[in-house]
Amino acid sequence: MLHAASPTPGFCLSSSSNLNCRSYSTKALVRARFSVCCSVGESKNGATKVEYTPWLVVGLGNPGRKYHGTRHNVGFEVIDSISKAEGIRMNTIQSKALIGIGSIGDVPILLAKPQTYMNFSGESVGPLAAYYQVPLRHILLVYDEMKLPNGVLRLQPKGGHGYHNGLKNVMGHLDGSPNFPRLSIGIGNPPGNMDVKAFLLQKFSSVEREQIDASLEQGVEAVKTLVLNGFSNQVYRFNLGQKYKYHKV
Amino acid sequence: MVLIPSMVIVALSASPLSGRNLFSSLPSTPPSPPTPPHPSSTPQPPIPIPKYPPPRKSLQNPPNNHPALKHHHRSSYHKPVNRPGVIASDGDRSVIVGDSGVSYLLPGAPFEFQFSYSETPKEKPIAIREPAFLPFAPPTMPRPWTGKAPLKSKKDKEKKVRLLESLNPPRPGSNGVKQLQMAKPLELGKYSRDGKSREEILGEPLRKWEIRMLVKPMVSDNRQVNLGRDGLTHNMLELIHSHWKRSPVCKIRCKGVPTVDMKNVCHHIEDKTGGKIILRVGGVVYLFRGRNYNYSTRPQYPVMLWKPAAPVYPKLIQAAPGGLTKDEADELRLKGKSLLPICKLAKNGVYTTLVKDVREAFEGSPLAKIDCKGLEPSDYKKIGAKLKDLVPCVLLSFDDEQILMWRGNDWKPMFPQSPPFSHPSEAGITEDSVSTGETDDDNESEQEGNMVNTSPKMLSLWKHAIESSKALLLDDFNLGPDALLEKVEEFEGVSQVMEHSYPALILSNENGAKGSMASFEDGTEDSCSSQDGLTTEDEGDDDDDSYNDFLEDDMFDVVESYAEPSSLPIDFVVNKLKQKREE
Repeated sequence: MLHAASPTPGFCLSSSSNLNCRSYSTKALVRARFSVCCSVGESKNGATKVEYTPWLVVGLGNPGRKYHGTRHNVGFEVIDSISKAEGIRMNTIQSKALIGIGSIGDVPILLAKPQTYMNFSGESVGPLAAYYQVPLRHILLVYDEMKLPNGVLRLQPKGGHGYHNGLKNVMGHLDGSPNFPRLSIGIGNPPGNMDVKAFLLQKFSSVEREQIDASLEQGVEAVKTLVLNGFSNQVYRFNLGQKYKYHKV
Repeated sequence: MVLIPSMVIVALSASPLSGRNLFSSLPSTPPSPPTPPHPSSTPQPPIPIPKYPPPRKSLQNPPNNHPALKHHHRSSYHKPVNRPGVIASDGDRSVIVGDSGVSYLLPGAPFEFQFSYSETPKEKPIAIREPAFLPFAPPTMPRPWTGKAPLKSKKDKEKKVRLLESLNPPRPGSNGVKQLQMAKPLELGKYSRDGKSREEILGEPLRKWEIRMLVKPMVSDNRQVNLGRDGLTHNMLELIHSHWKRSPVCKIRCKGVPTVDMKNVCHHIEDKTGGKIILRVGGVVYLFRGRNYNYSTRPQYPVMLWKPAAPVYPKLIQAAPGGLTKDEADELRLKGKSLLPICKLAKNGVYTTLVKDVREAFEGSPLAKIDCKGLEPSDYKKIGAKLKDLVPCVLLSFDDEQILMWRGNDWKPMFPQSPPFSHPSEAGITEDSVSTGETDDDNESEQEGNMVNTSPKMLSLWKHAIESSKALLLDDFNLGPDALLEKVEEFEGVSQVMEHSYPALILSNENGAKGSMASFEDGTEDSCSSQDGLTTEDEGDDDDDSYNDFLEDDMFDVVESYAEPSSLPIDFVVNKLKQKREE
């Protein structure tokens, strides 16, 4: 383990299981290229006390009862189920979002549900991340994705915005950078020629509701594994499993 | 009143029987409906309505007798191939059925010629569909003309075969028939390459910048060799050389069935043409001719004049495949009917990822189905045959234009362990695991009855936020979404005040005025507001003088911790401007 020379979480060796980690003694100051890795412990003064870089898990959605339970708000639902599963209370309002602070295992976690409307989510996520000093690679965004079939989850280390206004706004507020991990939850394409906006603000049908409920649980598991182990082979297998989960006999 | 003609007919025919008077006036006999329906009673329409549109007549009647117009498609010629080896020979040319299907051996040729080099299945054919003639020259049997236009150029005329009167004695059965023979045996192709080997022609391997330079102009260009469902055909070799005459790189675009196994296609391309592939993107292959290529010394293969019939191969779908009994196989087929297809193939698309996708699908389920609606039956059967070999799997059925596959009994999963997190209740991570000081990492804090379990740094940040009014701790949970939204907006107003307020400005000439703005803090900067006599220069403000004057004027009241409407910095600016205007 390197002794961090600077106070901020700058020097992390990517030590996840499947990445070969060659530690050169001469190149001790090389910053790890693979910035998407697990939350690595930093040693403080070489002592055994280890503090992990926190993760910020943000679910995108629209506030208000009118939009509660609509397709665009799946992000909120995931955050709710994580908070229930981990026992993290969402009891603070900061930077226009409802947040809850807690931890999964040893890793500190901040759950956030921005209460700005979807197109302005970045205004709350950006300052929140800055305040809690969460690095870009530890901001997990949870949102709905029309490209995936209903109930299929996908964990990605980075990507584009896919015309999702909430994502676009968040990316804009994070200095235009798309390099943060995301959990996309599939909601399927709008049927026929239906207006996209109307589709997104519709509530789920009963069949879809069951599928989404099942996938919420799987999503919680996925987030736990991601936070504890980073992007590894397990995440790849999770994505594969999700992709073919409805193709079973 | 509308009388349906049928009623009239019925009435007419029924009148002698029923005794009803046709011309009875209306009141006496109310119009009765026709006789109560019996099974075949829908009244006969006057003109029979055809159930289906009339069959379209074909454009012309095919003249079906002339032998010149016979072809092997849908002919009933079927000659089984009992053992591999030569099945027909004509002097030193022969047709062989061997490991690589039906192939043709010509004297002097460097390799066996086949119709398609990349698409010949590994299975051995069991019969042939047409008489085994070599497709390189017109045989003596009447066939449809598939040759070239009449010879016009001198070069073409040189290829003409000179016939001389034969000096051999006439054959016994032929009376009065003139015997002719060729002056010299017909040379079908020139294969010598000036003795250069493949490596010599290729020369040194290309550097990256050279590759980029060569490929860049071709990327948006349409000049390419199209490789379709027949794969790398024999005539394509000549075509590639003609492309190489004009440009050092030949672009080959592969679409459809062969793209399932691009590795094989690329191997055959490099092997048979002698070029080198410098770039491969999806279905497009860029083939370099070699630094020392000379068009005139290229190997000139004889061109195939027609497409020989594909031989008969053993059936792909068996009733009881792969060690299953027929019943088990039928059961699997039944299950497969309700399966979702993993992907839909486009008619002439690029299927490079198909094998990988099928392998991954087999991880989750023993059956996999591919939707091939819109493809030709021969195409999806070819795709099925390839998948059978590449993903090792067992083909179960092709009905409904879908390929149904089973992974087989000896399927090994790609990942050795069981899937990572399939159950929602995993041990090891329990909620509310309050570590009572065992680990050094976590920190417990009890705040108004809540147990918050997190790292000390985060906790301190959180508490600081709450204390400095950047965050609001809610007492009641289960706030409805609307109520929550209201609270957030309300709090937003408050916290914005905190953020956008200025640090204290204390003037040396103002004794009495408390730095009542000292109670405001700018959260991000820790600029302390001191009460000493600092002549302030506002950070980044102009017009200090008039500004300071106004501080004097307004700072009479003791301002509370919340900003009053008139004491925000923006108000100072507004007042200043007003003053200026008044001046």
